[in-house]
Amino acid sequence: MVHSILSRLSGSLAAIIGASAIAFLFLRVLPGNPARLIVGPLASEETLHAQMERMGLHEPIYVQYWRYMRDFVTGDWGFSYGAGQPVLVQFQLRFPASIELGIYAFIFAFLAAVVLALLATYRHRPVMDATVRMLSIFGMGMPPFWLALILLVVFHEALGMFPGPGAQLSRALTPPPEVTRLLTIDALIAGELRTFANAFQHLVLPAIALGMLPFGYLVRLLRANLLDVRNEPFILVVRSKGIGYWAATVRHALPNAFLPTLTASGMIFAQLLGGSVLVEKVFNWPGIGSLVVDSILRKDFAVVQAFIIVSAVLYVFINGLVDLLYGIIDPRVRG
Amino acid sequence: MTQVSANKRHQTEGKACEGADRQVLLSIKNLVKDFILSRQGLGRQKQVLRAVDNVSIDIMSGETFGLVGESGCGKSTIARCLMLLERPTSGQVVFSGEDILALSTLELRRVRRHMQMVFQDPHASLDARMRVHDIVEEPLVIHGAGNRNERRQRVAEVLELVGIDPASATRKPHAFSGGQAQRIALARALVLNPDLLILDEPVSALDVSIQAQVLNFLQDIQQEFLLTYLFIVHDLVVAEYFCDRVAVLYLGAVAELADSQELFRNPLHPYTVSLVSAVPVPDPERPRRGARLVLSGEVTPVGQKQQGCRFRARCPLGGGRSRCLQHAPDLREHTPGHWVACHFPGELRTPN
Amino acid sequence: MATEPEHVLSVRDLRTEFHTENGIFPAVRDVSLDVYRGRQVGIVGESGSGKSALALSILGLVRPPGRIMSGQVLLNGRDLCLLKETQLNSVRGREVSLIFQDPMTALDPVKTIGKQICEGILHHNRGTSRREARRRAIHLLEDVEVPAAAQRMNSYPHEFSGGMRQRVMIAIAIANEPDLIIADEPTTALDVTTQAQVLDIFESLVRSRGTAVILITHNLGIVAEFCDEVRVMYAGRIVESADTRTLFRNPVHPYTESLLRSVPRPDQAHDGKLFSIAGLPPSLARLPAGCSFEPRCIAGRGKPLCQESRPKTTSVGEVHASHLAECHFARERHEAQS
Repeated sequence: MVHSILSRLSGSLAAIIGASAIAFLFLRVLPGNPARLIVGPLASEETLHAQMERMGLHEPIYVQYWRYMRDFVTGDWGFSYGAGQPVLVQFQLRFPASIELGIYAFIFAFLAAVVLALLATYRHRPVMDATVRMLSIFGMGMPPFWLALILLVVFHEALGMFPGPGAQLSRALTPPPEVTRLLTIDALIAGELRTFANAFQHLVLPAIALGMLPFGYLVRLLRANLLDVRNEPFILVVRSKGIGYWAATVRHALPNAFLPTLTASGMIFAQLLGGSVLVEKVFNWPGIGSLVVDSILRKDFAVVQAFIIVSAVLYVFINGLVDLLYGIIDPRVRG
Repeated sequence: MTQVSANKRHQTEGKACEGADRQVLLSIKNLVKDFILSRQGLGRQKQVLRAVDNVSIDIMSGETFGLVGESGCGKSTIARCLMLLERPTSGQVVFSGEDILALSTLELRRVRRHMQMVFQDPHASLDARMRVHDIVEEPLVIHGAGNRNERRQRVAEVLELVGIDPASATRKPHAFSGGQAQRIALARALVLNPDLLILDEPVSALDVSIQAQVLNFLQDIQQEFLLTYLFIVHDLVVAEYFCDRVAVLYLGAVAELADSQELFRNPLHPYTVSLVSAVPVPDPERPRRGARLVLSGEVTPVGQKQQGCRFRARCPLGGGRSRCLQHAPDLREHTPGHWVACHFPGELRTPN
Repeated sequence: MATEPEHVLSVRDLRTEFHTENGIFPAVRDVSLDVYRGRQVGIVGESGSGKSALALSILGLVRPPGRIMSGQVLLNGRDLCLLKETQLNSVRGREVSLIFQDPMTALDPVKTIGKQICEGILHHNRGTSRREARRRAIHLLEDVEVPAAAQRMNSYPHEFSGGMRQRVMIAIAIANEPDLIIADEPTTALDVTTQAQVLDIFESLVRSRGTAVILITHNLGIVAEFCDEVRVMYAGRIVESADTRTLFRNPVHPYTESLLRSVPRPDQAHDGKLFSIAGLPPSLARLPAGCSFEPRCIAGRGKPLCQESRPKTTSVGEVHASHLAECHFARERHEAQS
């Protein structure tokens, strides 16, 4: 047991170090000098060299990498010259919005996938099944920014059911005290239900736009798994005990159908937490995705570098969580 | 070591080379196969499962030799070792005088065409995406036999022989029933004119009436082409009906070996006795209960080599006697041609 | 009429069809079947003969695209075909239960053995505490001779051998003391010695409780040892029914006779050929106009009567309906034997 945990941890560490090292290398090899960004295009060669000296850009790359990682671990993530802020501060401002949106998008994708997969496999209904399959193809094929625009046009412009882009909360409301930095959660902690409802309303459209693709993927997987599991003899045996269709499905078929989708779900979740450029742009959402793209365009390496490391940690962490879940749900894995 | 003698009094019913002394076609000598179960962690002791433990069997040319036993007894592993689908841990496999484990890849290919195997589930062992003609032709292509036309002719010939209309050979295996698919698998095995067929539960997946068809057919082609069969089967009734000699395996070792009639009528090993008495007999006139000796417990593979007889924990004789506890019994010839690995052979009798 | 033994199950003209893209497959064709209290009835037939479809039809668990077209399934006098799904759920597991063929796939791999046994107990006994259900489940495991029953309650199916899993299946089936157990090839996947153990346990349990059993199998040996009566199925019909001794001694239907003769027997001299039935069973989607066994029949192949008209069920026994066969030559064949 201790052995397997240790090997697991060392593997995770290796993955994070590997990802960060490769990213570090690539960003340095790319054309464009970060020091030039700081001193400006008109500065003399001397000023440039002085700036490079200050930033340690003359040192061998492994020294640079070592120094960077050492600082990173102690909380010094570098300085974003493009934004004129420490990178860590930028992340603290931007990441919570992405995480919150990602969580809701995932909840939407997962719940919708479960409900529709159940409907598609209920009894023998070709029309319902075909509809769900259509929705799945639609979800996987529709470009998210396009869907985002359509949602805005229909539900904001035309019907006025949901607030438009540009904010996480109505201007009239004061944000709740920061605890988790996730607005809906903080609102609940503060007991401000009106703020929660308002923040939730702001989340609905972007979450659907972002969750549509994973929904399409998950519903397809779940539907196929449910059909497989439903044909397993043990479902018949459960029914022969007198257990009704839905109880048998929810208690026995679903958990077994979930198993093969767990890994994919974990990856999807990690990806959603990392933000999405296009949806964030359309909704003017203050998330990490748009920040990273802007930083790439500005050659603001410190931000990009930090993002890659944080992403790697996120993936590794969620992967570990998935393995843990497997152990809880599937007794055969525990073995 | 245990060596099974060659002087087998074979039955004479229409068998090839009557009168002549039979020759050993396949000789398995001290075959051992270990499987490594787990080796996680560095300093950890690796667990070894001995699936085949020092098995020696001689199979005569033209005979049908049966390997019977329950799941986990090693009968399929032996077959896989013979076909080199598994690499034996030690021992020799001598086929027509050559140790096939010592051959080079090229020489092996030459020998291989004389040994073919047929598996239990025909639909699983035939590539579902290939046409039947290509399935049967494939061994010819691999062994570079004949040109296109000759191969086509040979395939048609073999398909006809097994009772499949060559005109339907453009179809894929799933278009055929289980019995027909098994005939196609047989055609593939026969197309190279082999001397030895290893039949791994070839009729277990088939219905009773189809099983009879396939068994009859196997008998016919055996006589026609002087084939030798190694027949792996868990159905004792089929084994008794179909085999000339039978070896009963328990936990990777031969428990008893004899002519099939002798073995099933006069079993000497308590395991064989229990097996025979556990088979339900399709005759309601027989006394129902009491006539059966039900073995307790289950086959439990042992990781480490344990002392004493491997059957003693389940032995109806108790297995508590000091000889059973201390020494694993050797396979000894009890009466001519009847070999048994038990310290007290014949002490337990079929209840009747 | 007053002394007539009590029916547990009475199936009347049951017809189950599978409507697929490739045509309509009548897996069960107007079958009638009676099972008396405490009796063991074997149903014998080859794969595709409709015996499993019959079992699932009785339980009302035929899956789409299959469905019951007509007929009655009278269990303890009540027609299950007329019941609503919720009413059926109170019958299944309490009055009739199922033991399934493959012990490897018949138990939910992610639930403990204990939970799976308790599920049925709790479902049918409202107000039973989990504690009480657990206590009963342990008793059941002891009944089916699972060693260290209390500890094994928390085990998962993959930690059990095939034989042990099949014992668990039996425990689940007898949990609510049903009047009828349908066992579909309960020992086919097991080794002979394990099969003997499981059958012995099963037999002593149902005999002591007076449970009626429908045992579906292709193994004639098991039928001979276990069953009081036998029904032989071919192409969706029961073609012969009799008590076990009669059927094995005097098989009237040519299919029954062929089936019995094609099994190699350990107690028979085995020189020469095995008897084998020529050809293949017919496709249910394209049944012959006459007798469905005619193309393979030792007695009727090529006879115009057999080719043109379907035979009626004929009673050949001394007692009415004690020995039935669906063959044009049932009487002649019966007389020729006796």
